Amino acid sequence: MRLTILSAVWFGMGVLCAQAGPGSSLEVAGNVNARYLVERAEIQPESLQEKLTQALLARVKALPGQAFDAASLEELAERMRKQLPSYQVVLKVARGAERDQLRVTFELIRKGSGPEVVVPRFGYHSKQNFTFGADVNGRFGEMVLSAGALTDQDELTERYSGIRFGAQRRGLWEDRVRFGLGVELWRSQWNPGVASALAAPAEGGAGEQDLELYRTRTQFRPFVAVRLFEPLEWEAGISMHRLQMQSPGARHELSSAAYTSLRLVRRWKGSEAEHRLTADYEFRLGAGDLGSDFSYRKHQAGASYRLESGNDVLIASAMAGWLNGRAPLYERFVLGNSRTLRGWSKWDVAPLGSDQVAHGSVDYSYREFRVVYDAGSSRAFGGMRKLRHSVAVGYGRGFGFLVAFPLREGRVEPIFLVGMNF
Amino acid sequence: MMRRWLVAWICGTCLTAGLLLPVEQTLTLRPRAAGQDVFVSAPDLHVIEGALLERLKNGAGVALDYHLALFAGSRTVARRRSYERFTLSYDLWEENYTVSTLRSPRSAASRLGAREAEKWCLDHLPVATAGLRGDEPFWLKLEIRVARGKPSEEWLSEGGVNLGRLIDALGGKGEKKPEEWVREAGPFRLRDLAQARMP
Repeated sequence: MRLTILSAVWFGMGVLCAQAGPGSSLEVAGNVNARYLVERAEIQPESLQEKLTQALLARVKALPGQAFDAASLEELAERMRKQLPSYQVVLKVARGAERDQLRVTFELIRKGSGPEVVVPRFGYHSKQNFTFGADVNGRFGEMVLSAGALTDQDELTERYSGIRFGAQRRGLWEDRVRFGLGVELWRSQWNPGVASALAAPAEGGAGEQDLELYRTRTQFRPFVAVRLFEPLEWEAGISMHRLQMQSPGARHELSSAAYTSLRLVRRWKGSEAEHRLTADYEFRLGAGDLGSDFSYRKHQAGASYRLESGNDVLIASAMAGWLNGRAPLYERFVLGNSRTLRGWSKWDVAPLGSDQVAHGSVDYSYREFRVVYDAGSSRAFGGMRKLRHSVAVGYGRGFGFLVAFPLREGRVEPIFLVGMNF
Repeated sequence: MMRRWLVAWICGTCLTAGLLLPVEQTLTLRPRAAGQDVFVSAPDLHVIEGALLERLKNGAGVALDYHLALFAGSRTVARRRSYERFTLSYDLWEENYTVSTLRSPRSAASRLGAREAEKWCLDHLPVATAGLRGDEPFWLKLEIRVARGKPSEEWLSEGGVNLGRLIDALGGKGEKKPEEWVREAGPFRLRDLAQARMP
């Protein structure tokens, strides 16, 4: 027993002193090559440089003339692996043309194109129950095919369960353009609170009586996406839904919307911290000209800033949305789920969803301990706008749990969340 | 008659095959005493080769954890132990090795060949023999392992959980097999060991 413990301690030394990436040996101080200078640093093949962030490329370009630092090079290689997960990054170092100088090459090799099984969503919410999905993605040359199944009671006012398929063609115009098609078949289940809210007299009186529950919805979505410049991507497409309504006769309605969106992702590194900024805006237009039975306009914008320094991670995010006209229930905004107003139940906030929302969140973690503050305001059917707050504490980032409390007077019932990426 | 020939042929074939098959060599440690310590040498143990050599010739510095245990009376509980972490790097221009210890006071040696670097590490790994009688039998076990970085959670990203990578991680498939070397030898007696000069 003692031997086992001592052996574990000894073998644990490597992990405790860890600095390097997976599978690599620990890069150490005292490397004799540190006295040499980097003569040249390159990424092979050069055509893949565009897929890396400007900040990372700038660091590689700044290497010539610097002292050789194997740990720093391994860190750069690790960043490349994260930014290009479908590539292996092999770091090669050789003697340079000049005496006492070294040539550094980051060789990017595409990994095998076999199918991968990915679980994009998994979580438990004490008010909403489970959400779970699994996709199989395969890359065949420049074609990416996917198929998956999902049951989700977190994102919308309904639980939607079903299957989805997707096909994307990439690699066009120097890999700047991709286009694709998505097909989704969902069956919807409704919380009793939603049906009661529909049956109740209209709160604001505007539009509520036009809403109807549907039993199934089938979506067909062709789209094109263009990377305008490195951090900014534009996407446009048409989302065509065929809804089988719950009303007698099981009649069908069509909801078609043209949409366009802009998405920006930018990462950079300061002296001691890493920063990541994401921002997106989407506009959807449902119109009779597209053969739709619904006519509406929807704007949604969001931004998130992430700062990571040592053991501290701070994420500040904000989102706002505005919906005008008669839109189906799946287009309405939801606050009170695993990503917004975490201490509230979405059916208490607005059982039929909201027309106008604004939400802000501050999420701080020290090591694995996490504290989240959410504030959100919503308005439905021209009713009163109401501001709500909640706090949550938990353990684990990426995969973990949170216990969230609404900040309000009266009885407070905590909400328990466990899962990933919420 | 035919049957006898067949039996003889099978026996002969098995015997020849048995002689030709590689027999696992007994890999030994050679101890030597120096004052109150015992040092070992392992002439057949070559750490600087294969993947490790490739990494060194690619400019990387490598940390090696050495552990030498002395067993006496029991083969399961070590009487004495010695640990050391050595750092090793290959000079890409001079084409020789530099090795150093991490503990204070730090020792280092440079311009070494591969075998010299391996020997230098063992010469800086004494195990104390205090309390061991001259005629008491003891055994030695040497373990060497390449120190590794912390594995990252590649299976979990913003896109979700990649089940293939998760299964690999749980099954240890995602991680490369740890590079380690183990040698055991004994029994030895202190009175039989040659006294060597301190390294």
